[in-house]
Parts: sequence; structure tokens; C-alpha cells
Amino acid sequence: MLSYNKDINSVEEGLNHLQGKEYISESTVNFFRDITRAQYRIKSQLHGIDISCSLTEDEVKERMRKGKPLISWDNIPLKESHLKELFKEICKIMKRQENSGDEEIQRLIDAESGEEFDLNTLIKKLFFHDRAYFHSLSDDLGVSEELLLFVALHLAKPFFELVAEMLKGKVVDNLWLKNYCPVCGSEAQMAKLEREVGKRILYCLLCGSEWRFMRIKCPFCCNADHEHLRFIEEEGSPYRIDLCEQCRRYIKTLDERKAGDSKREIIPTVEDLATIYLDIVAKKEGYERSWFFPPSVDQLKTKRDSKTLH
Amino acid sequence: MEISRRDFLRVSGATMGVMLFPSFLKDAKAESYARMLKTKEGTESTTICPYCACGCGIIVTARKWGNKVINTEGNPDHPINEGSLCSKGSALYQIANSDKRLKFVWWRPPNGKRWITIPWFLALIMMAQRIKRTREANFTTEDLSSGRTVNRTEAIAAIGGAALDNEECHLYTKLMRSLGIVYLEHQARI
Repeated sequence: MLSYNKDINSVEEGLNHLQGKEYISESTVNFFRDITRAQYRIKSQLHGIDISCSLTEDEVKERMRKGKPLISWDNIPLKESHLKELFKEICKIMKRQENSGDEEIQRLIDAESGEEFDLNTLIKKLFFHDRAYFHSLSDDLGVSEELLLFVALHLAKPFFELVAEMLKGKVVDNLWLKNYCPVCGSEAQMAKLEREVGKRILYCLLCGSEWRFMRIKCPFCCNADHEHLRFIEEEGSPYRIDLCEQCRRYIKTLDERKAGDSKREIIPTVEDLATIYLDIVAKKEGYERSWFFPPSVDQLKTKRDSKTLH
Repeated sequence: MEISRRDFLRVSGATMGVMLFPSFLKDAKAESYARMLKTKEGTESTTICPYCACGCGIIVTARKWGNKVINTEGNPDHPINEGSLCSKGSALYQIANSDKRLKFVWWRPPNGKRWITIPWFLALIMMAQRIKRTREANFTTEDLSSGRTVNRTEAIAAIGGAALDNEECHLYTKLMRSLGIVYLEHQARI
């Protein structure tokens, strides 16, 4: 398993490629460019921090054998000042964007500065997928749940990525063929079929990990009945959407073998952005996108016992 | 009320649609591109290469409507071949799609000198009649020397083709065994 996290220059280059394309607006590209820059700025400040993740090689193997993701809440190097800085940046960027709801964002900023909620708890609740918290906070603050979750995920991203980068190299690929990220436990967000023999690689866009998964299997509900799996492909393009009729969810896939240029660098976050139109197609067909939330240890155990045995 | 993670995903997924691109951001270009997009549907299923005893795994891609095979490739998740295929296995696609495939049944009438083409339904009727006739004339319920119940016919033999895959061989064997055929062979080779 590898961490695909790229340096900011590669991401910028990838985003530059999207400029002027007929399938995405410049304002959308710029919006994500600004958010990415803000996240990388925070990440660069975090590099000196000592992250307490002292798993030995045997402990890593043991956790993987048991289907437990490697990251735990204590490992995430959250620091109030960094969180606040990133939060302000993200809100500022969102305010610049049309249709993003100025009033709601302002309410969120005011609530944070008025200590109606704290960012550390927001990330913690995200990590432990406490939906009730987001629901009640959304009611209390008068902001949409969608906005809250969007902010929480983009706030959490650089911190999760950093821990994943640290664990890079410790993970043994053949011990993990699960449908959730070996590092943070999130569900996969993107997939690719690799160039050589078409192995399926899943990507976690939250912590930036990649791992191997079965080709004929839904990466969400683990349905392996090919009668209930299908794909929609764009004519003459390397992209496709893999759909599961059982759980009605989908994942976007890049088939490297159809991508032409062998030197092309794949940056999943950029590929994800470049294929927003496929999300629209899938949504029209009645499918839902995968989700980031890392399942709890108990739920992982249930998942492992019931579904992910190969 | 306790809410499971699944409920959480369903509700939040339904409200949010796309995470990286939440619904409060609109991209007119992407929406218009999606409307004009030309797409094709497909399904993937697994099979075993018919050509030799190695038993390499293969993924067959077919169009969802019409069941037309559009691609065959080595299955990267199969423990034997891990995605690779030999030259014969790689050409498996041609079993389903080749100009050289016979499209009709060729039949030479008794005492005839020329081959003629006949439709499938006619060929199937002719084969069924012959099998029935031969089987009924030669069916043995008991082995004469030992007195054991055998329910078989020794007047018919079956030879499977090299291009029959695992599932086809399974069906073929079942059919032949149900007829009581004991001389059952397949042209598997290395």
C-alpha cells in the first residue's frame, strides 16, 4: 500500500490542466485550488510536530490482520491554532464563491468565535461519525448539515494526511483487501484500474491512502454478485462509474489502460474534481456517492465478520 | 434515538450528493456537459479460460443490453494467473467475436456429395431425433454380468470442444450424464 499524497506543485499542475476545459468551470477549479493551498499551508506548519504513532511492524501487521485501521484518535495532531487558521481560510474562500450562502457561513464564523462549538470537537465527532451531533449543531446554529460536514471534512484532511504519510511503508498490501481505508477506516472515494493487469486500486481522499480491492465486488456493501454490478462508461474516455444495484451507490473509476499517456500522473483529488459531470450522471440515475466517515471499531468488527472475508 | 452509521450515511449522502462538490456549489459547465454525455453500459463477470488445465481466471465484459462480449482480460484477483494470460487466453475474445466463426450449421445429407447449410432449429431437431432413437434402441438398465442397475447407453459418445469453458462443460456433462452417456470426453490439453 502506498500513500499517493503529492506535493502542492503536482496538485497545482493537475488543477492547471483543468483550466478552460468544457466540463468544469474555472471558478470551481479556483475554489478547490484555494482550499488545497490553505490545507497545504497548514500541513507545512505541522511537519515539525511529533506525532505519537509508535506502532511497531508486528503491531501494524496484527492490526491489519484483525481489520483494524491504523490511525486512532490520539494519533491525530490537532492543534487549536491550526484548526482556527484553516477554518477561517476555508470560510473566507467559501464566501468568495457564488451561491455558497454568505449568511450561513457568517453564522458559522460567528458561532465559532462565540464559542458555541469548538473545532476540535467537530473533527472528533466526524472521526467517531456522531451524526446526532452534526444534526443538533446544524439546528442550533441555523446552518445546513451539508455545510457543516463540508467544512469538517476539509478541516480534517491535512491532519489525516499527515498521519497517513507517516505510516507509509509500514502497511503490508496483501494483508488488506477490505472495503475501507487501512489507515483511517474511511470508505473509498475514487478507484483506478492499474495499467499493467487491471488491478483495482481504491483511494481514500481523506487521508490520501490507496489500497487493493477485488474487481468484481462493491467497495461499499461488498456485494460480489455480478448480476447486480454494472458500469457506465463515457465513450472514448478512461473514466467510468461503477454502480452497485444492491446498495445503490457508485464509485468513479479511472482505467489507466485507456488513459493513453503512460507518464500521466494520477492525483485522485484532481481526477475527482475533473469528473464532477459523472457525479451528476450517477445522481440522475439514482445512485449515491460513497462517504468519508471512518466507521467505529465496533462497526468495523461487524463489517469484518460479516462481509469482508475473502 | 440511536442512529446507526448506515442511517447517517443514507441521510447525509442524500442531502449532500457529492462531497467534494457539495450541492450549494453549482457548476453550470459540468451540468451541461453531463447532459450531452454519450455513455455506454457494461457488466463484468468472471470465467475460467477453456484452453488448458491451468485454469486461468478471466474477466468478461459485456454490454448490458444485448449481452455482446466487448472485452476479455486476465482476472487480476485470480490466484493462478493474477491478471496475466498466454497468447491463446488473450485471444479468447475471438470465441465470441470473429469473422471466421461458423454462423450456420453445415450438413451433408445421406449419400450426398455436397455440404449444405441448415438453420439451427432444424439441426437441433435432427440431433434430438437421432439421440432419442439411438438411446431408446440401446438403453441398458442392468449390467448383464453383475446384475447391477446401470441405466446407461453405450451407443452414444460425447466429445466436448476445446473452447468450452468451465460453466459450459458443467452443463454439457450434466446433460450427457442425464442421458446415460458414459463415454464422455473433453478436448482439454496443455
